[in-house]
Order: sequence, then C-alpha cells, then structure tokens
Amino acid sequence: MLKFIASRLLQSIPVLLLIATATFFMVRLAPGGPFSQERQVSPVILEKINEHYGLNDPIIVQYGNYLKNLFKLDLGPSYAYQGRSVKELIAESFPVSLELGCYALLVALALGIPAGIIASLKPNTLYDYLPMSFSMLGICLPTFVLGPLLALTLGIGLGWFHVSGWYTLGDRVLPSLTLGLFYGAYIARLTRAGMLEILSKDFIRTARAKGVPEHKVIFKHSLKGGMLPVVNFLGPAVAGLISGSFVVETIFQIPGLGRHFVNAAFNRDYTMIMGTVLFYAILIVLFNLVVDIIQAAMNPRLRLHD
Amino acid sequence: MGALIDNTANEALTLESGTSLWKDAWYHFTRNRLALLGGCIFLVVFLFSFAGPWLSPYSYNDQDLSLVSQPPSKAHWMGTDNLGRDLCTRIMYGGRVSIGVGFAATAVSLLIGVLYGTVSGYAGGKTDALMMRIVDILYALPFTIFVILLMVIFGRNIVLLFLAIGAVEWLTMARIVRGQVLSLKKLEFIEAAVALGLSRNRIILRHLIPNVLGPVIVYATLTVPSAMLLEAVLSFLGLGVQPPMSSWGLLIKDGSEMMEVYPWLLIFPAFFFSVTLFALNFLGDGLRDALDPQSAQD
Amino acid sequence: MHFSNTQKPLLSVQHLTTSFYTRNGIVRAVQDVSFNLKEGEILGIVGESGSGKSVTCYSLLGLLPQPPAKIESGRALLGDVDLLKASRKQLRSIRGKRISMVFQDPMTSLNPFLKVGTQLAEALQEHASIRTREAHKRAIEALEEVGIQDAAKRVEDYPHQFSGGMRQRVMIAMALITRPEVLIADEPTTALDVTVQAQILDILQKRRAELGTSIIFITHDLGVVSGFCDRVHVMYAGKTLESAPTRKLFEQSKHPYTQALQSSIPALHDKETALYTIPGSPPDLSNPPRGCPFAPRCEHAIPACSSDETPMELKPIGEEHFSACIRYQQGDLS
Repeated sequence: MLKFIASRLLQSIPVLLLIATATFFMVRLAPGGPFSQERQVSPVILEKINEHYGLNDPIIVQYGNYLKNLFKLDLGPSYAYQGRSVKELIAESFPVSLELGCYALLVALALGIPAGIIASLKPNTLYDYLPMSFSMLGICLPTFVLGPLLALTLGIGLGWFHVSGWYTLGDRVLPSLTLGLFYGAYIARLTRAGMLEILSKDFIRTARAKGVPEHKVIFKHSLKGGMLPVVNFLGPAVAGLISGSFVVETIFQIPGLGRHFVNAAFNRDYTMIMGTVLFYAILIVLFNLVVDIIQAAMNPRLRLHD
Repeated sequence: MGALIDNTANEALTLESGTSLWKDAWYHFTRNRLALLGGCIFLVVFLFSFAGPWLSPYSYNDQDLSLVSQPPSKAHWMGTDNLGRDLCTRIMYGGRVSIGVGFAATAVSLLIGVLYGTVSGYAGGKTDALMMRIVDILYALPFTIFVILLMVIFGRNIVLLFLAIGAVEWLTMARIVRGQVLSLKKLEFIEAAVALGLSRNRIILRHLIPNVLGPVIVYATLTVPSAMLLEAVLSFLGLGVQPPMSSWGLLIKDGSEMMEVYPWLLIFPAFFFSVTLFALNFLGDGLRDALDPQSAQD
Repeated sequence: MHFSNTQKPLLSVQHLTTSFYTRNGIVRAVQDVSFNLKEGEILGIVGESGSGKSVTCYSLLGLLPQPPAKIESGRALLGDVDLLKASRKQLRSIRGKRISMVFQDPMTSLNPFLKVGTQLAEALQEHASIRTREAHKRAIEALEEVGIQDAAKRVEDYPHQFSGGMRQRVMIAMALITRPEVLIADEPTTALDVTVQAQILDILQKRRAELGTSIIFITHDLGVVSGFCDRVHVMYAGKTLESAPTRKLFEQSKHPYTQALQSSIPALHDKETALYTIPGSPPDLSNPPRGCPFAPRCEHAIPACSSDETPMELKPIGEEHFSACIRYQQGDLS
C-alpha cells in the first residue's frame, strides 16, 4: 500500500509541474501587466514597481526564479494586497473554505446516500419517484440560483439566518446547504444507480437463497459495491465544490479562498492567481489519492494489485 | 447441445425481423412522457428566446427612466430592471446567449472529443493507452479554474467563452467515442450474420451506426446543460458575458444583488434557467433510455 | 431407483403455474408442472433455455421478483409446508436451511466484496444460534469436505482469488453447510470446463452419498443427466413433456422431443453421420401455441396435436413413466 501511495505521489509531480508551468506562461502571455491597467500610475513609478517585482527580467529568468521559489514553498508577494504574501493569504482564508466544503460534503452525503438507497429498494414506485423528483429538482437548482433563493426565503423572508458573513454557527447553514444540496442530489442518483446495479447481481440472489434477511442483503451484501460510483464521484465532486465555493463565498460574503481567487481574477493579482491555482491542483491531486485509497480498501479486487 | 437452436442464428433472425433500432428508440422515447415534456418545454423556451425578441415591443437595451425597477405589469410582463429595461426582453436575449453558448460549446466538445476518441480507438495499442491515460490525468485537473484563468487573461469575449467551455467538456465524449470505435472494429462479430444471408450494408446501416451514434447523441444532449451551467457560473461571477450583453447567469447575478427590494429580478431569470436545465436533463435521460439502454440504469 | 414409489415424497410440486407480466404481454413461463422428489433422489430437470426449468425452482423458493413474476396456482409441499403459500419469513427460514441452491455461474454468484469464509458461515449464522468462532470452524470444514486444499487459509480469501471450478466447490460447500434436505443445482456445470464439470459432478455425487441430500439437478445437457440422475423430467416451453427413471428415458423414451434431444447428443452419436438438429425454434411464450407446444417442430405431429380438443396432459404410460404425447398415449407410436 505504501508503495502504491509513493508511486502515485511521484506520478503527480510532473502533473503539478505542468500546471505550474502552464499557469506561469499563460499569465505572462496576458496582454498588459498587473500594474498597467485601471490604476493611473506614472511611468516612472510603474518602472520601479516592475523592477521591484522582477518583471523586467527576461521571461526565462522569471520562470526560473518562479520555480526556485516554488520549491522553497514561496508563492511570492500578492500584487493586490500590499505587504502580504500569497502564502499568508491562502493560509488565512483556506480554513474557512475547508470548513464550508466539509459541511457541504456532509450535507451531500447525509442526504444523498439514504435517499438513493430508499429509491433503489422499490424502483418505479412512490418510494423511488419522490426522492428522485427532489433530486432532479436539486440538480436543476445550481448554487447561484439556490443560494439567492435560500437567502431570499429563509434569510430575508423568514429571518432565520443572516444572508452574509461567517461569524456564528447559524451563518454556516445557508452556504453549506447551498453548496451541498446540488451534490446531494447528484449523489442520490449515483447511489440509486449503484445499488440497482448491485441488487441485480447474481450474488444477491445467492444471498437471498441462503435465507439472508433483506436488511442484511442491503447493508452487508450490497452497500459496499453500491457505494463505489459515489466514491468514484468524490474526486470530481471536490473539484466541483471548489468552483462552487467561488459562487457561494461570493453570494454570502464569506472570507474564504474562493472569494480571494475571484477577487484576484478581477484585480489581475497574478501571483495570487498562480498560487491559488497551484494550491487547488495540489489539493485535488491529494484528494484523488485519498479516493483511490478508499476505493482499494472497499474493493478487494483492486487490493490485489499492490 | 446441437438440438438447441443455434443462438447466433436465432439472434440474427430476431435482428432481421425486429423493428430497426431507430424505430424502436423512437417508440420508447415517445412513450416516455417526462422526456417528451422536457422536449416540449425546451422547444418553448427556445422559441421564446430566439423568436421572442421579434415580437417584443422593446429592445434589450431600451431604457425607460420613468419606469425604473417596476414590478410585473401589463406593459412589462416581468417588470423592469434598475435602468428601466424590460426584463422579459432581456431574458429573451439572455436566453439566446445562454442556449447559444451551451450549443456552441457542446459542438466544440463534440468536435474535439470525436476526433480524439476516433484517433485513439483506431490507433489502438500503445497510442490508445497513452491517449486515454492523458484523458485520465486531465480528468483530475481543476478545469473550471482554468476557464476562469483564460477569461481573465484573454479578456471576456463570448467566442473564447464557448471555446474554453468546449475545451473542458470534451473528455467524456472522447471516452465514449473511443469505446464505440473499438466496438466498430470488432466488425467480424457480425460476419456470422452476414453468412446467414443478411446484407452487410443493411446490418451496418440499421444496427451498427445507430449503436455508435446513440451514445454520442445522448451524451451531447447532456453536455448542453452542463455547458450552460458553466457559462452561467462564469457570468454570475462577472467573469463571463459582459454588459450590456446579457445572459441568464448575468441576469441572476444582477437580480440577486437587488433581491431584497426587487425579488422579481431574481425570480424570473432563475426560473427560466432552472426550467431549461430541467427540460434538457429530462430530454437527455429519455434519449438515453431510448438510444443507449445499457447505460440507462440511473 | 433406490426407493419404492410408495414412499412419501420429500418435496411434492403440484400444478405449478408461473407467469411474468411484462410490457410486451403475459409470458407463461411455467404451466401446470408437477413432480415429486424423494429422499436421497437426484431428479434431473432437462430443457433448453427458456423452457421454464429454472423458473420452476425459483418459484419454489420465492426468489422471483414479484411483480413482474406471479405464481398463478399450484402447491409445493415440503413436509407440511406449502412453499407457495408460506409467508416471507417462513420461506426465509427454509431457504438455505432446508432447501439450498447452487447457481450456474460461480464467477458471479459469490459476493466479490466479502471473504469466502464470511459467505460460507453466513447461512449457519442466519439459521442457527451459533458462535462466530464455531461458524468459522465449520466453514473451514465445509471447504475441506469439497476438496479445497489449505482450507484454513483460504477462508480468508476473496472469491476472485479462486478459479471457476474452485468457486463452484465453494458454492457447493456453502449450500451444504447447513445440511439441507434438498439441494437445487441450477446448471452448476454449464459455465465450467469439461474436465472441471466431471469433478463438480463427482463432488455432488459424493456429498449426496454422505449426507443423503436430495438433489434437483437443472440442466440443458441430456448427456450429463445420463450418468448422474435417478429420474429425469423433460421440460419444453414451460410444460413437462416426459418424466421417467433415467434408464427408461434413454432406452425407451415415449416422447418425440426427448428422442430428438437424444439424437443430438454428440457423444451418443456416430462420428460419420451429421449431428441431428431439431428444425424450427421454441414457441413465443407470450403467445403459446394450442395443444402440444412441440407440435410445430415435431416430425410425428398430426392435426390433433395442435387442437384444443385434445388438451396436452402428462399421463402414465408405463411403470413410473409419464408422457404428454397424445400419439404415445393413444398407442399410435410406441
């Protein structure tokens, strides 16, 4: 198992390097530097700023410095926030996004899995149609529609929650629901499909022929296999939660990394953009590794290969 | 045992006597009421967006400063925005952009995916393995972020927008097409049927082509809503379509900023967007049930 | 035959009729099927795919999804219990305890997510209050009984670590671990290599001798039946066409379908002559033909075979020998 993890980590290094390189050159290719637009600065000062940030060096030298700094885990200074480093900004805002993401994932799994299981037990009956209708509704209400609607009804209309900020536990409810419901709906569909597939397998018939009671047929014989599509989906789900966090953090004014990234995109804060993209890439690579490990743990056929 | 009718022959006979796959698919599709409803709703929304502006007395940019932020009324069915523009007309134009970007991006993803998948499937062997490995790696990348990056760097223009979205959505299409090409390569399998006297062209025309096209059509239908979704996210963040042009994502963003006072500015565009997603998803699911029965589990 | 026909049967199935209510109409999968299974007997049920042989057995155990399946009528007495009328709970206590099953494809019939030992012990744990440790020990014994080496280690393995033949041994061990009165083997050798087939039949034979289990052996292969079963029941299109002790069936069959099947077994045939095949194909069960379902393909058929006036019925035609062919019943053929 350790060998498997090590080899996967090694494999991800070139991928990350590729992302780092791609972002770097894309950003450098962009017309206009970070300090040439919007703000009225005198050419002399602009020259000085460029000098200060090393923007006058040949691009290869800049790239070399960038990589050198990367290996020292130095993502450089933020262009937009004077005197703050990108690393600081990420360290400060990421925990907020992480918390939001965890709640959202929890909402998604806690709603999606039971709904999917219930629907799969009696397909094409009310027990199936009802949860699946809600799931379809959830899929058609993306974050940027659901968020404002929840804010309008539960927040402004009923006054149960604040519609912006990240201070009290109550402030967590609307953003987490907004981000989690969409994925819960999707997970419900995946769970249902996975369970239906497993329940139609020969070995389920074997279990029933042995006189195994139905609840054990479901939980002991089917659940592991039925959950595999959900586990497979966790990788893309986290990538989706990240882009979802851009929207949700913008709607509810949450000081997370997502909002920082969107702001950086507006401000053309290039170091911040590059740093965040790389950080997200590492996050996704690591999470996919975790998913692979969970998969191997759940599926004995995969475990054999290591 | 020999006495038992040879299975291949039997299947070939049913193939021949059975209705063609398209007819069968059409039959199943028309019996799926939800899918039909989805198709009808989408058609209505499509007509509303693309033909509506000709019938509307307002243009998307007409300002009437005496009628700013009006609730729905007889003159303005869905009210007016904070610049006195007719919301209904703006939703029509927004729909043109949203649906247009959805289809254009899907076309781009179809082009890349079909090319890539065909090459990979036909090449086979090591090339195929390498190309699919690349797809696997790309799957794990935070592509939405790259689209945002592209929009930031190269300016927010609509052509770039659907090119970028299409470039994100092609991966699954490539996989599906490759799988279909591989199955096409196993053409020998139908030699038996040919030997039984069925015309080869007929088999290809009636059974193979539909089998290959089916999943592609189904997946393309399901790509449209996800491309629309991505466009709307970008526009909502202010990184997509730029004013005075409009898209549903942008209208929802504007609406959500003023929802406390003028809730209709949020509710109408959100309604149109969700209903369209709803319709397209049902349509896609229905097509999948009809055309691609193997994967019609969920 | 080992036992006289006066002995009370262990399992008595009478007039079983099962249908499937599908989108394309009602499929009459099993129609009016009756048979008795005596203690220690091996009863072969032979038929092509779609002849209703498997559906018959699944009906007995309540393993068919209802709907679309529906058991229309009949009785299946196991002692005093009518399996077809038993409650779900009652049936569950019988399944795996008094009647066990072995399925066709050992590659898919074992749960890939659970250890073999867990699956072996499961039936014991469901049906008897037994400690986990004891169940584990019994699981190892059960594997040894079907000739699996190194059983104590192999119970910790997962199904994919076994070969096809070995998995079928596991299935047999699993089915017999509770010492059931009846074992239903649904084409247990079809998916296996020929050499492995013989081993599996051997094990079944041996375990039957040791435990006295009655076996219902479902197969489409008349050749396998000849050396293995005490009695054979021939099914076609959901109906029984002939039922006789194995030797009688092979030596003096009283039904054209059985005879046609026999002449198509390669092993019983001259290498020189072409293998016989029955012309035509089995009838569509959602629209079954009148009278004898085999009549359209039968070389001895007369108009009366396909008429409503002479309903097809299984009738005694010799000692312990039943045939549904009216021409044999009337003595036209012999």
